[in-house]
Amino acid sequence: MKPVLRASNLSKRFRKTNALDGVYLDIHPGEVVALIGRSGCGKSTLLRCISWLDEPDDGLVELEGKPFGREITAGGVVRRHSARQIAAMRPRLGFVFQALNLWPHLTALENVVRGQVVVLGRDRPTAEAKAAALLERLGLGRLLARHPQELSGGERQRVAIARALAMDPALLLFDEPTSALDPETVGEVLGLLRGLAEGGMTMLIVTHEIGFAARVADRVAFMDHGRIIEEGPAAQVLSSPREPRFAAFLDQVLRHRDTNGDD
Amino acid sequence: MGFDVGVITKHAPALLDGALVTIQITILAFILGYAIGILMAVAALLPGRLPKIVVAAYVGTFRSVPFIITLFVIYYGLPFADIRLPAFMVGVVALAVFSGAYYTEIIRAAVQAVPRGQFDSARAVGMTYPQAMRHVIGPQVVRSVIPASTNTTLSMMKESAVLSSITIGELTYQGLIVQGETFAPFEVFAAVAVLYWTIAIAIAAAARWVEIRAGRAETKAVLRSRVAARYLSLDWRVRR
Repeated sequence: MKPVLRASNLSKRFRKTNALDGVYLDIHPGEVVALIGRSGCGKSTLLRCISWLDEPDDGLVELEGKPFGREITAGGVVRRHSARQIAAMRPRLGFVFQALNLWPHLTALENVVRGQVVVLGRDRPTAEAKAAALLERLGLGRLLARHPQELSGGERQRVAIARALAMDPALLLFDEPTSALDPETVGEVLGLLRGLAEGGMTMLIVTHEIGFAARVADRVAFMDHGRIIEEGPAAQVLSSPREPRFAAFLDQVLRHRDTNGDD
Repeated sequence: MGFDVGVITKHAPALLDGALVTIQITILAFILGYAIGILMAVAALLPGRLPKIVVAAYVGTFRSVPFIITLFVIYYGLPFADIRLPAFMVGVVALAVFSGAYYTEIIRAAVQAVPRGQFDSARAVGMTYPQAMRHVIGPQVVRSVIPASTNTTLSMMKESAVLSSITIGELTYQGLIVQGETFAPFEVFAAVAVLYWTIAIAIAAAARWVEIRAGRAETKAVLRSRVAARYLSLDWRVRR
C-alpha cells in the first residue's frame, strides 16, 4: 500500500541551527501518528515543511505517491514546483493550527464553506450543505451563524477541524491541538480525534502530552534536535523506549505530571 | 451693525458653487490618493529593499512638507518640465499625492496588523496568493482601515482650502471673493464654515455607512461610541 505521506531527508536551517536535520517519515492510510518531543525540537517546523508553508532547504515530500513542492526529474535535476502547483495540491493536506487561525470576518459556516468554493470550485449550495453537515456532526449545528470570536475555545477548535475536513484531505495535520484548551476541553478533543480515527482518517498529530499521544495514536515518533530518533507502535514505544534521550524525556514528563498531580 | 443674513442669501449661488467644487476636488483627490496609497502600500510589502526605500522617501517627503509648499512646488514646478495643466487638475493631483502618503501608511499598517497565521490558514486550504488577499486578508484590512482613512479624508478636504491660493474657485476662494465684494467678512465666513461643516458631516456619514456595510459584528454600544469618536475626529488636524 502506498503511503499517504512520505517525507525523506527533510531539512531546514534557521540561521545556524538545524531545525530539521534529515527527517524521514512515512504515514500509511488510516494511521494516526503522534509526533512528540521537547519544545524547539522541530515538531512544528516539520509540519510546516511537510505542507510547504515553509520551504524545506533539502529533502522531498510525496503525497499519495506524487511529489509535492519539489521533485527530481528523470535527468536527476531538482525542480521546484510553482506556487500555483503547490497551492493546487495543498487541499490533500488538512492543517489544524495551534492558534487555529480561523477567519474572524466570516461566520463559522462560511469559514468552512469558503475554501470549498474558492479552491475546489464547488457550487455554493453543495459547499454549504457539506459544511453544515460537518459542523452538525461536530456538535456545532446551532452555531453556524456565529463568528469565531463569539465561540468558546473548544468550539473554535471544532470549526478549525471542520474547515480542514471540508476539503476532503488525505491527511490531517494537527499542531498542538490541546495546548490552547482548558483541561475539560482536552478530553473533548481527544474524543473527537478518536472518532475521526475510527472513521479511517489519517492523521499526524504534534503534541507534547504523552497521555494524549498514548490514547489517540497508533504510532509514536519522538523528535530530538531536528531528527526522529525513535518511532514505533505507541504502546510499545511509550512503555519501553530504547533510545536513552527518549527514555529521559518520558521519565521527566511523567515525573513532572505525578508531582503536579494533574491528568 | 447686526448679522446681515441678506448678504448670505444674495451670494448663496457663488458660495454653493464653491462648495460644489470643493466636493468635486475632494472626491477626485480621494480616489486618486487612495489608488496611490494602495499601490505604495503593496510596494512597501514587496520583498526587497528598493521598493521600501522608494515608499519611505515618498511618505517621508509629503508628511514633512506643509501642504501649501507642496502645492506651490508642483504648481510652479510643472511648467519647468513643460507640463501645463489647469489649476484644478494641479490642485487635485497635489492633494492626492499629499493625502496618498497618509493612506499609504494606514493601509500598510493595516495589512501588517493582520496576523501571519491568517495568511497561513488561507494557504493551507489551498488558496493562491491573490485568493488569500481577496478572501481572507483584504476584508480584514478594509474594516480596520476605515476609521483612520476617514480622519485623513476629512483633513484633506479641509486642506483643500489652500487651493484658493492658486485661484481654484473652491469654497474658500469663493468666500474671499464674496467678502471682497460685500465687505461683510463675518457673515460670509460663517456661511463658509457651515458649508465645510456640512461636507464633513456627509463624509463622516458615508464612512459610517461603508463601515456598517463592511459588516462588523459588534454591539450597538460599540458602534455608537465609534460614531461619537468619528465626530470628535472632526478636530483640526487629527491625522493618525
